Amino acid sequence: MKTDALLLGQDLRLTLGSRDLAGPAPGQATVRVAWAGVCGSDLHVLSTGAWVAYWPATLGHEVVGVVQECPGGEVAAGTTVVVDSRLPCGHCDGCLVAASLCQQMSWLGEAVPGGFARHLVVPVTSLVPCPEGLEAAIAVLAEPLAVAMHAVSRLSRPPRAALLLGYGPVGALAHAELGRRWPALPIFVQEPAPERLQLALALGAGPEPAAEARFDLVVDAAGYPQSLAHACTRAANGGTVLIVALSAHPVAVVPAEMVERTLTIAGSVGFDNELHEAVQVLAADPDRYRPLVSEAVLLEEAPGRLASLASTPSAGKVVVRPWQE
Amino acid sequence: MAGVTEQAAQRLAHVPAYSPGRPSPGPMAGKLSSNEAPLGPSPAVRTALAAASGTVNRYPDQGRALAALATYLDMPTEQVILTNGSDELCYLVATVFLGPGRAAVVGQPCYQIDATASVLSGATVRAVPLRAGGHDLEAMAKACIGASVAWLPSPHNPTGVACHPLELEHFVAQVPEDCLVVLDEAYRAFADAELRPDIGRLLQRHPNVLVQRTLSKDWALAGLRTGYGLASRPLVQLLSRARPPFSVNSLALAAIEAGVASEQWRAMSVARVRQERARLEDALTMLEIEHFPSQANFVTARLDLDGFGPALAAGGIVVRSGADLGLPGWARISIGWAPQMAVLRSTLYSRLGAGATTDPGRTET
Repeated sequence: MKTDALLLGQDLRLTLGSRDLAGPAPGQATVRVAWAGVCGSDLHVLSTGAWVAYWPATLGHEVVGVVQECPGGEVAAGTTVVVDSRLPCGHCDGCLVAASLCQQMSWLGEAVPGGFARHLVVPVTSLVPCPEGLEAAIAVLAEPLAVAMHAVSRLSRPPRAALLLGYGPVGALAHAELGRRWPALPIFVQEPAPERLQLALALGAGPEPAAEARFDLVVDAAGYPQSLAHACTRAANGGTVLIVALSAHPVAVVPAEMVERTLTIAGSVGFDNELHEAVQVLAADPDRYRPLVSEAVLLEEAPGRLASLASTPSAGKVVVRPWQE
Repeated sequence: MAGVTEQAAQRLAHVPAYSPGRPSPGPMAGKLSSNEAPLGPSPAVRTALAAASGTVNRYPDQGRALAALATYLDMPTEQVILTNGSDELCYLVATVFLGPGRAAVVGQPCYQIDATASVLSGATVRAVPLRAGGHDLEAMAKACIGASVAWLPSPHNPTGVACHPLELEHFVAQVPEDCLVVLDEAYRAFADAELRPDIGRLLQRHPNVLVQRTLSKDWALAGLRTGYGLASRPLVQLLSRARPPFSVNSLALAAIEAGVASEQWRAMSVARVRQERARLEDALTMLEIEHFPSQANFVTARLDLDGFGPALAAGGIVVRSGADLGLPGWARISIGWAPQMAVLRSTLYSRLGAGATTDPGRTET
């Protein structure tokens, strides 16, 4: 079948067009996209072409939609589903422990056509049904929320005070998850973009603390060249630096400082079983997450907005929707 | 003598029934028919409301909330009156200033409660047609001669058009001193900064001005029915005397107390509304759909809902028919959450066959 889709060419030109979708074969389903979220990694791909395994590419791995066709009948047509973004190889040593540790992990959109389209075809094992009543525009946050939940689960004990470096969607979802697990936890935010800082403050974060303040949890959701070094500086002795931003900048660290201050540096990518939980969490308190979706564009409006998103970021998550047929 | 039903019917013969905005056919976020706040109240207000539920066995004491609000507004407490929604103030004004043999001035079309309260009091209503969706202030000033009240929403409902503060000042100066000007600022927060009048100065210069505000819009407390008025000390004192006791409930008072500290939430929410309003107005302009330039949290456009209504409903969205608001052939679209506004634009584009805002050139694979 043909479907309308955003197409990223190897020349990094993003256009609206149509693409052929194979299938669905047995074990697959065709999903009519309701919303697809824009991730920071999408912006990285748009500007570099990194990680793409096929051209032209259709990105978008934060997807919610409605099952349109499922030849095997595993999921009923008409079911609203969140799509699992992960495509682990399933047989490496990492996969034997957990999917998030796959040594050859690939992702929806980068390896196969993703959700910036009217339809996509995915394995039925990638479908997570949404609870009755959960708005699709809230459910679109399930994938990045699962990422935030997985990251927070890396903590070995409840923090007493937390500092978030960066308040893009990942930082905002980390804030939401920390607040959900530990409602009394003081959370502070360091974020240069006024709209994002305003969102953080509106959602109850403390203003940027004094430079000498230290925290037993510092989340690096910024990923600027020295953010990890800064995060280590802001961590209290015995504290944890949790890295969720994808930064490729080398950073000098002093091992003795890690040792003498008993610091833990924890990285986290993707998720394991959290996607199912994230859907339930969103359904239980959707209004908590509603402000995190700050902008919605139609597929046909998307090329223009995605091109400007890196220079003029939205306060929160930008979501894309195919226009009405 | 006529029976009670006949008596009531006779008395209310010219009072139109109020039709609230219809509920959404889908999730509540699709209700774009009542100018409500899409993101709701701040987390702090929600927490305060939960805590206050344990005190509803007591009569409300408005002292702390009134003081907190006055401090927030930088006004003396004695110049602030809390009301059960801003609509209660309409009825208070009508009770105190209107009645048989008196006249009230409104724009045409007007905010319906202004007319309803006026007619209920027994007063006559002088309707001055709007010009391009805004008040015809020259004509209104003339109509105010011999009238007791001028109702002046700015930004206006149902058009969203705001008076310029200089024109407003000029208007108030022209109105006779024995005519009360009720400046309804329900939508003030959504207006451009230069279109928000200096209320302190206005009240100082003109003791016949009463400013009316609601906490239903940017404060997101529509369900709690809370509003307030700002006026001279003697006027507030007199209006308070006419107000029913305890008309503002204890949950609303708790929400006010917590709400004054939720400025960041309101600023964020208002910024979102203004962003979506601009995006909708751009789309309407591109589609050559006539609309009033709005300074409120809605946009009123010439749209035939017989055609668009079912298409919007299919997307889970309902808007307000202009026929309910004195603008047949128009629709008042409340600014909602970004996803609903995208669905609405999508419906507009599809119905009008206009594609969308860009023409990137289609590519085939």
